[in-house]
Amino acid sequence: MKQNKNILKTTAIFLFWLAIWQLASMIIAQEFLIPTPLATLKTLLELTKTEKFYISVLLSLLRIIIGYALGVVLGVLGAVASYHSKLFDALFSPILKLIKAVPVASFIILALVWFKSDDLPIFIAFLMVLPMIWSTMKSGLDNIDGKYLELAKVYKLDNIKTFFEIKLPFILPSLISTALTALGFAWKSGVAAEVICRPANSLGNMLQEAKIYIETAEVFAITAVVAILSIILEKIIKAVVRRYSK
Amino acid sequence: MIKLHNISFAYGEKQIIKDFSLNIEKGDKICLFGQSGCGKTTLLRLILGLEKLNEGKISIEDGLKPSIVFQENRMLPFKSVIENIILFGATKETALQNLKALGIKETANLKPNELSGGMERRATIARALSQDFDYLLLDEPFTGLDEKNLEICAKHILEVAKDKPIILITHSQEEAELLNAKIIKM
Repeated sequence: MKQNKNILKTTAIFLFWLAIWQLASMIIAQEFLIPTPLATLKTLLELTKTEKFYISVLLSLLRIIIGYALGVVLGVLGAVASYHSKLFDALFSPILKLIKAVPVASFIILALVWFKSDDLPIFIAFLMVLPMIWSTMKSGLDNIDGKYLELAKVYKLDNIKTFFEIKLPFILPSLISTALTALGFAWKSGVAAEVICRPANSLGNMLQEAKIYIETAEVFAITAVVAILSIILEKIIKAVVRRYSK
Repeated sequence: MIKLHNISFAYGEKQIIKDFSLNIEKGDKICLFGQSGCGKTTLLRLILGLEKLNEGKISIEDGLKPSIVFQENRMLPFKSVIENIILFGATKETALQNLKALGIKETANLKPNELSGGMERRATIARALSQDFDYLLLDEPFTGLDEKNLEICAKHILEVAKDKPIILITHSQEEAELLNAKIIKM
């Protein structure tokens, strides 16, 4: 009953905004500025009939997932190293602050000089994820109640067991929450990097081409694909986490 | 087995323990008595190596393993009672035996937040008793236990640590008597 009510509520909200979109496109009455929802849907269906679309989706996903995974793994390892070595922490914390402070567009432009266009979205996604994971993991480690670590010390629990059985479970909830937020950032910044560096088969390149040819309906359709994929990715990660945290 | 030679300890400017000596032999049961803040818990922490001495020396025979009931339960909230016990080296069988002896075998698969205060305290005692230890440190171990459970716990502690030294901290003379402990004023 409650679930039906929720579905009804979500559908009503969706239809409300769809109606606003339809109304806006009717008022402006210029397809190249705001296409109608129907025109966007038609374009999306057309896109799904092409092989290029699927290759672009797959390669964009692949690039961003590689960057994201690298950011998560190195973020966790970096935080652990920072936690254990004051020197390491002192060396890398200014770099992390710098990455956080510099606009992503500046990194994209800089990275254009350093990387092949295919690799740039990987680097940008990595760069967005790394400081988020690193900071969360490090502050989680710093804030573990020392009383539990004393138990580990008294009973001479080895470092690996102490990490996986005591420290990590305390940090995991905030780490998962940050990892999910970081996924959204990785996805958006990765596609933004693709728009600028235009790898041959990518959603970002498709977006840029659609913009150049003022195919606004296509821009809307691809944006919808990017948003839907982001939601699906988040749901997959949530499901994986739920499965393994049981 | 455990010798404390003229030990002194201060937190910053505040002197907590001054020139204290103690000799603990096999099977000794000792109760440290004294006002709050006189350094009883600090003494246990010094024996465990969790604090560093300012002066004096603590000698513990090589290879002797401690076990402890801290003042707080320190049960990991994300692990069940049995997982909390076996994590530190105890076998599942010993853990279940101790839980049974303390009357809380049915709590083995529950998380600490599903236990009453008294149950959690007994689970904490079971954790300490289930480890492979040579001497036992008890910091107000019976807090929150009713009289019946207090007696059950004290009796079981004596059974498990019959020939092993015990250092108890309590404010209750009755508890010290239940463990046949010699009272030492600090």
